[in-house]
Amino acid sequence: MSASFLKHVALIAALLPMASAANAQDLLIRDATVHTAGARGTLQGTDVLVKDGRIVGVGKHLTAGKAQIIEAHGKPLTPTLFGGITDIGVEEVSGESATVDETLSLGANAADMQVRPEFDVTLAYNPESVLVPVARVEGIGWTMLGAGTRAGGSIIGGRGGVVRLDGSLDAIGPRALFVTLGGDGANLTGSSRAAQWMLLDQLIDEVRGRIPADSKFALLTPAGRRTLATYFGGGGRVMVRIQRAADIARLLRWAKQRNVRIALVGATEGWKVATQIAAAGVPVFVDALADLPADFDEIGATLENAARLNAAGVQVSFSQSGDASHNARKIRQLAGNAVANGLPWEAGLAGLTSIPANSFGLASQMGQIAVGQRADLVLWTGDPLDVANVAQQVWMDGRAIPMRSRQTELRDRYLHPDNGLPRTYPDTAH
Amino acid sequence: INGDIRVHIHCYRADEMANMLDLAKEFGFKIAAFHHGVEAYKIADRLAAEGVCAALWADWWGFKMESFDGIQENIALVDRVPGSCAIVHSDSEEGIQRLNQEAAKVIANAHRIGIDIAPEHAIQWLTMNPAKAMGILDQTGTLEAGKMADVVLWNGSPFSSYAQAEQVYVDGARLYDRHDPARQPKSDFLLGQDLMRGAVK
Repeated sequence: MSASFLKHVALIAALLPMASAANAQDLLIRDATVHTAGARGTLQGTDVLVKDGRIVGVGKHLTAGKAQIIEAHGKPLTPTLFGGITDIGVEEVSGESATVDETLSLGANAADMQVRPEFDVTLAYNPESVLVPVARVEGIGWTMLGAGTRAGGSIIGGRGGVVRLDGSLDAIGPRALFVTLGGDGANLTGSSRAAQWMLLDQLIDEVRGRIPADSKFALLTPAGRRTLATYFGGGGRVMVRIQRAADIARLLRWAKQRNVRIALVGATEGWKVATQIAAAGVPVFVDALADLPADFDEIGATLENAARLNAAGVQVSFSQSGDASHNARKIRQLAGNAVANGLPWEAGLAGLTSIPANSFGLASQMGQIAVGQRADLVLWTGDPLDVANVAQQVWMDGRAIPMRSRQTELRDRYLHPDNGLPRTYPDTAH
Repeated sequence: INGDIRVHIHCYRADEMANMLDLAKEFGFKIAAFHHGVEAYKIADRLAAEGVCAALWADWWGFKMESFDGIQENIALVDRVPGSCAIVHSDSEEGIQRLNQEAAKVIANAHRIGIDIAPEHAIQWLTMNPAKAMGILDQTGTLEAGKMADVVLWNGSPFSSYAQAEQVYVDGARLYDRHDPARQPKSDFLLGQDLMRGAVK
């Protein structure tokens, strides 16, 4: 062994005793109203014990040991919230195209449609995006990055995935495939939504080898064929943006026949076919504030969509249709309004936590306050579904995150009168 | 310039609002309000001093470079200056339905930094201040004898996700009633579009 190696071993050995003292990932949150988002429901006056970043105890009068104690004084504690299907970290300023990476559009129009299911939007993710702290200080701990659809692209937007807002570069869990159907995709399928079914069956034919790779009808690259073979064979979740009831009914039938595991995004008219959606076990991500007949696919828009879906047995989560990234924090306003319009409160919370975690195959580590889960927690000033309240402290893997963002920095710069110099100079007084 | 028509200016940045205020001074006209005003918090003192209203968002930001410096305390920082005129706006067919909830977000974020805003003050952002900006405060915008009976009865505090309008009166006529189907208007557009509902097989 070299002398420098032994020196390193000695250094590590010297540091080990310090590691057994207070670990930044150990804490005891005492006397909180614990919203488990799981089978135990809401627990009053309950403690949550965290060790090495994982929840190891949820109960009364837990022993802190060396863990830091946080007194919650009865305030609500929840898992960190799902931020919806967004472009956080993939879009910095919406109007600055150089900062927007969420949509592939290789072709100029529908005749040149490029179907690239292998496109993976998570490869553009920037964990240093200013949008990350802005979302995080409001209790958002994770989001599903979605691949978009627009002219020059395809109704098959490509793949997205879940990122945790903890600074990690990589997405976690399996990738989901994003598809847009109905009126919103018709301009990409020769002006008719009927062509979308024609196209999907054509892609299945190609995946199964019935359209040879060198055929003039072949649309996919080899990677694309491999990708679609997975999703069209029951592996992986296909997220379908779709609004109209009749289209949803056709999609449910198609997904059952072709063995495709789908989720619905938007589903403004989902309530009309709620029984069928529930029978199929398909989760739905609704914009609970979409109550206007924005187009003919959304004539049935109602604030009661989430409540009616839930009453029929559907797993309801949420996602905003507009400004979903910069204002991801608004997602709890969606849930609160759904509750105001008939959704049970616990279902509203589950829609922000355990339901999306379960839909994306992450239920073993995220989405609930339960033993074994990551200690991704939020302490609130009051009911988290009411915009009258805010997040007081957020923890990720048991570590308290700094409750600072670009927005709080700007706020603090202008909160006090200037000290005589322009505010761009450091203000040592505050 | 003669003041016959009120001047409302769409403007995001503090430096550009300042430029318009200088222009107004130079040419002798009055700016009634800036709309959007994402950076209004940076010149809150000047807006109040010059009696200019500001119709602002509770939380929109980042959709274009001009809105990159948006903060959730914008309305609160504009409002706290004596003589100010802060208005909660939405520029959205969705947001405009729930300006009371937009105001709730302002109150909550202000409270977080020790600025406590009483509900009877916050309601002015949705009523008195916009009426003032539009020059119709003598007719509406407050509950006072002599003004038009434009009134909302709420199910509780309007500053909550759970707030709902129970009854809405315009000029004293009950035009919307959550519990009376005879006072729930349905547009010509939506009429008859639901005749197949429940009949699909």
